[in-house]
Amino acid sequence: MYTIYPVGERALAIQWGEGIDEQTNDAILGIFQWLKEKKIPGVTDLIPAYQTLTLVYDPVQTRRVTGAPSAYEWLYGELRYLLEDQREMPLPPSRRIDLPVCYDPSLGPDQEALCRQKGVSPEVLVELHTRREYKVYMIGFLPGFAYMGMVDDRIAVPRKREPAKHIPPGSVGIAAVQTGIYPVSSPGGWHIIGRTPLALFDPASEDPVFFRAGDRVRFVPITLDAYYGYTGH
Amino acid sequence: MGIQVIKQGMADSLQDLGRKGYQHLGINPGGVMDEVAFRVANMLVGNEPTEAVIELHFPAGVFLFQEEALIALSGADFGATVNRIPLPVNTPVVVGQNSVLEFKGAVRGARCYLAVRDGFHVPRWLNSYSTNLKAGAGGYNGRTLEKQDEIPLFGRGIHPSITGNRDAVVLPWKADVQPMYRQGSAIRLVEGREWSWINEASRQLLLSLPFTITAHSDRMGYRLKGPSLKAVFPDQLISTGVTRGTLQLLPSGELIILMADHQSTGGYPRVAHVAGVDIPRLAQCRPGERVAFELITGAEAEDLLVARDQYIQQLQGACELRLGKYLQEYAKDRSEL
Repeated sequence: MYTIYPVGERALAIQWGEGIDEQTNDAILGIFQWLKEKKIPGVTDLIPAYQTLTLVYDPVQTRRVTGAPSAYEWLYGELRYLLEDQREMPLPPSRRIDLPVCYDPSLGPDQEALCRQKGVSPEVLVELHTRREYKVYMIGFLPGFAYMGMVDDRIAVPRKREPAKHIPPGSVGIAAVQTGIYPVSSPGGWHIIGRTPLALFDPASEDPVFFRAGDRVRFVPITLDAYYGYTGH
Repeated sequence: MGIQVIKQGMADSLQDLGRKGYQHLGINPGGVMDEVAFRVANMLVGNEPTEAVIELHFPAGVFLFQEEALIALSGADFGATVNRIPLPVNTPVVVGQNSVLEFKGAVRGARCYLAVRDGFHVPRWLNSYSTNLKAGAGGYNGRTLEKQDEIPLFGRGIHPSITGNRDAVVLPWKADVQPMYRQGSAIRLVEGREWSWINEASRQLLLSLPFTITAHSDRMGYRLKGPSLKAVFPDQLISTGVTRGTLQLLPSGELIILMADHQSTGGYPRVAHVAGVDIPRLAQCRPGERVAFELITGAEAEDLLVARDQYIQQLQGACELRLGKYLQEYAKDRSEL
């Protein structure tokens, strides 16, 4: 079951359940794809997240197109109506991606501190981080930043108290049970343990963002030489 | 031919109404901070509300017009001059070829918008002219304007020339923007999903005491200084979509209002949302200014947006009429010479 609630008067959210759950998130990604094609009057953005789908809309436009006296009431009714078909929702196409990551300490400035805090060796850290397949639950925070989960509890740590001022693109981090990669340089509070040589954001491309919510990702460790081989340095 | 930056401003950037439809990729809409001033500047020069403008913060840049252009300034009053002739805001002005636009001092407001007839000729990125600094894309090479930059114009000037050998011609009408800014009154809020997470006493404080916009405020968000609010966090919030105007409560008790360059998702409690109709007024507040809040319903906030849109439509119609007549009569006078 779901609830619909306003997020100010220019957005609303549909929420399914409480907490993070893979099946719920799969269903949300399916509904996201499906609703995107419905072209609901006034709706400009749909933002899928762990347990919510947020619709951003222009109430003036919604009212102009539908003639309804209240944009929120109209959208609420329309969504209730549309979501009755929920069972027939198609699952999102899931891509499987092997992503090369170099775990050399020179590219993972927080690796040593994380290992010390969790009482694991760097080898075990890499082993635990690379042996799981992660699901991209949502994209947010930065252009193309993928929230992936769930990492092994033995290497899960709360995000840093003081965010680092500058994290280079490609940096792979851990925050709680999530792992993710900074696609562009940014400040940030995740613990950086390695770096991928691949460009995950390219504004010049037709498709500027590498990841999609729903992707399945595995990290493949590479050597420092291989890393610099990729980047051409 | 276009306009050249001859002195760099603090943070001048090309913006439009924002990049819609890409938030699911983490690409935020961005766009102008003050949508009303953006609309007014464009309508005064006869543009559709889709053309890019330059958003200026004080100290703003100095611009050389390499060609004659019909321009308008709206939003903040930064004491604009063209070849040292003072220029009014919210008024169309024709500036001559090789004239210099400068800004002498921040009289009022925080962001000034410069529109030129037919707009600035830069490529669009993902259907928008807005500069996204995080992505390093959109606007003018994905960055703020720097000395030596030349921004070409779409327009081919006004033929025949209106300025002749004059530096500037101020056209004889002005857009009345006052009804859209509601000076001196509280900023209206709508309850957020986590409104009940702050206790009753803190809710009273939020709605009765003023908050100061701190120096750590920018296009991403406004940090507020005021009474520290007490919140009960029943459990940790899981990241979800946020919007422009969302009031987030940090664990320290501090409030942040998300503005144009906010990220697409966030994990702090959304205690309230600024009514869209009051965001332009908030966008014109400078650090150090104080704001008070009052609560309205979502339905009221929606009706206010519709009412504002009707006023903008009227203003747009009036501007089209005045400008059309002016250019027509001018062309007639010229042909009679």
